[in-house]
Amino acid sequence: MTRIFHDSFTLERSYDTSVQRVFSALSSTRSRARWGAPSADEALEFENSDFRIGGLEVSHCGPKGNLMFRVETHYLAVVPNVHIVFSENVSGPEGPLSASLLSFELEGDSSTARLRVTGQIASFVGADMINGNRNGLSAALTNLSHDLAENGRGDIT
Amino acid sequence: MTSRSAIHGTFDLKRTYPSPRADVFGAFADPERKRQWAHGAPPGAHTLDFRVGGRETVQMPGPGGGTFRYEGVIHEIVENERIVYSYSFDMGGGVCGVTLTTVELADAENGGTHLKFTEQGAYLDGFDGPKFWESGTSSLLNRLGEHLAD
Repeated sequence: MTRIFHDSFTLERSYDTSVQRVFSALSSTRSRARWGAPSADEALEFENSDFRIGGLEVSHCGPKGNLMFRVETHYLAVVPNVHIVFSENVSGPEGPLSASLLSFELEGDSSTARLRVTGQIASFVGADMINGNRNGLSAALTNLSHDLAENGRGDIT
Repeated sequence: MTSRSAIHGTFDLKRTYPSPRADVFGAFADPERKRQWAHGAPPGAHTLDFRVGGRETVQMPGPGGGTFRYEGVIHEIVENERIVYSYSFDMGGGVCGVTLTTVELADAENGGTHLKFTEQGAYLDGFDGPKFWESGTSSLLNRLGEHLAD
């Protein structure tokens, strides 16, 4: 059996909006479905919303028309406007690919939100999966910036 | 970041036990065995539903007088080879740490088992994280060794 590859990464972003709006964007599946796919050729769809400690959300992502990856998100720690920590399991057509722990930490005020994301990953299929996870998330966080700008100043739900 | 920021850390611990892999795997999979060696929890204070997606919980009086809570979920199981789970722990004042754990088993000489235990953690709210947890987990794996020898 292939050994498990472990690695971690950190991504940082700053958004010209309030911490509350970014927290809303991170906690809403409707919002995440808009910006969570890495590119315009890909999509992210949620089966359910269950944002609470102990909650489980199931989503599917991949190229549009072929959402071949299944993602399970288990929320483990949530403090509104401060942090969200969840585990995320990704599986493909041939079985489990990775398990990861993702921490989203926020700080700032009513006009600026600084976000730090730490990903800690165990890949069952080699190191490429870890790079893929990091690059996909990095693209999504850039999409989030555009989404926050396009969707006005109101609450995101 | 503020005082509520998280500290992230990773450690791995290795042990070699004289017991066969199926026995070491069973110590993680069997609720009654896991309760005894891993948690030292009284009967009724621990639950384990050992399957992918299954949960593990501990709720018992903590060392500081509050309630200690452990909430885990199992992500991946390959019988006698691999177990992956995440869990959160709460010493009585809210969740103070969350970790992703992988357990890998391989054959050792003379029918024994190599165990590699990797923990990637996010330690919250100033909780004295990785070093404390690594030390505690090292003791835990020693307890597993004693349990296997019984």
